[in-house]
Amino acid sequence: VRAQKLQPTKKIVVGHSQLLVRDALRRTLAAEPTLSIVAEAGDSGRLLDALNRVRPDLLVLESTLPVGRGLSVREVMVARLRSVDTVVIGDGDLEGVLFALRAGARGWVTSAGSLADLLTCITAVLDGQLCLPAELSRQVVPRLLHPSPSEEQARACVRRLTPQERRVLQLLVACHGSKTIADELDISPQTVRTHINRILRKLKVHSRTAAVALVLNAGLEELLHDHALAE
Amino acid sequence: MGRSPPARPIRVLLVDGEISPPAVDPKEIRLVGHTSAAGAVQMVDSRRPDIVVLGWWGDGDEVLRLIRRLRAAAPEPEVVVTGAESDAQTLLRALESGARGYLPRSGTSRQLTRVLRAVTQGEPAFPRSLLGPLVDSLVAREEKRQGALQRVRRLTRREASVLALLAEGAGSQAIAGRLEVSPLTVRKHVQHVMRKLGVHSRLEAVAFIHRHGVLDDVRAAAKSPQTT
Repeated sequence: VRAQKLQPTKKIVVGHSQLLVRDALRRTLAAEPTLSIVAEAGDSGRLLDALNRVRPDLLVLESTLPVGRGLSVREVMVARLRSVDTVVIGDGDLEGVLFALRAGARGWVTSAGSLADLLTCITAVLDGQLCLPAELSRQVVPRLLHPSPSEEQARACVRRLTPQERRVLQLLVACHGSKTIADELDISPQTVRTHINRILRKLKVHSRTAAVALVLNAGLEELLHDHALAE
Repeated sequence: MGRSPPARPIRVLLVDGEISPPAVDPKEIRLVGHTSAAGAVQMVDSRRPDIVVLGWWGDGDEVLRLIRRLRAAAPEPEVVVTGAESDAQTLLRALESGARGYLPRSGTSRQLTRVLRAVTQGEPAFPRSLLGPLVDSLVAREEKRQGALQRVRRLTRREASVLALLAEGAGSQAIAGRLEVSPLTVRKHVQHVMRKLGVHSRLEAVAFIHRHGVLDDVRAAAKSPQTT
């Protein structure tokens, strides 16, 4: 950490559509002796030009940087984020974060965050760490760990449920708890638990929430109504 | 403080693991049992814990098998590991087996309680320093899986059926019987499968689908009504 103080200034490129943000960032970084903004761009085309020109140590990138010369920000991400450490500024949309991480981004700061958050993130990323808001890292890991099954796979799983298991799952999807489901189907809460455990096993998920998400994501609610379909 | 008290204590079952006694506030965390690996599944059934805390021993293979067994027997209690090496690869193996992560080796009662509460909500738990290496391994794993899936998609329906049966341990004779074709035809299919997957033996072909976790995709391809 000490040694880093002696290292030369880190070159930063900023890709952001709002002049206000670029100005604020330039003023903030002016107080940092080891960080220096060497280029700015307001759209994706200009950003690519800047990246080709200066080869920065770090890129600060708006997740919704406008299209420039027919080039989208996602294209820039895929083409460049592996070769330059990047902190993305964006909202908390999980798909957007995953896209950036897959492309090679090392940090994410939400638009609602402060300049201090951004500076902390920049420093951490330059230090070789991955920096995500706690809220996002909690969601990112499970999503990467359990890739959502294709709709076809999900459909095949749901088909393996018995008619009663389908009824239970249908009620789970409608946000009912074990007690309500027990009353509704006139069975004991213990039986409901057993059904739920079997459902989780057949759907290969680890929680009720994940089971409900699987059904909703793959749009399989209508399949649940079809009790007669099960063998 | 100033927060409303939790509805009830978190029920914790210890399996060859340790939570140092002074770190536990009985109003927050209730130890419902302490058992060896052999008694774990039965204890989960009788004590109904919210969380099973597993110790780590040996190279971890036995622990991972126990995690899978616990998850298969009853998906409701979450499983966390304590005392393991804190590296991303070990963490990833534990997470892939169905654990929610690591408990901090040390920490105050409040920290421990917070982690355990988060785990009961289904959140992963691991040291913050491992986030970067973990996400990197996960993204790399995903890329490899995508590559594997592309190869699987090149299989015809028949080839996928043959591969799915190979993965179940069937030999040429058995596969021929199941698919009602000659063993010679099966061998031809197997050769095509190996070429498309880029492997050189049946064993490697089976290892390929397990390593990349694409068995379900192979099965789906074998059943899909599309092209042959």
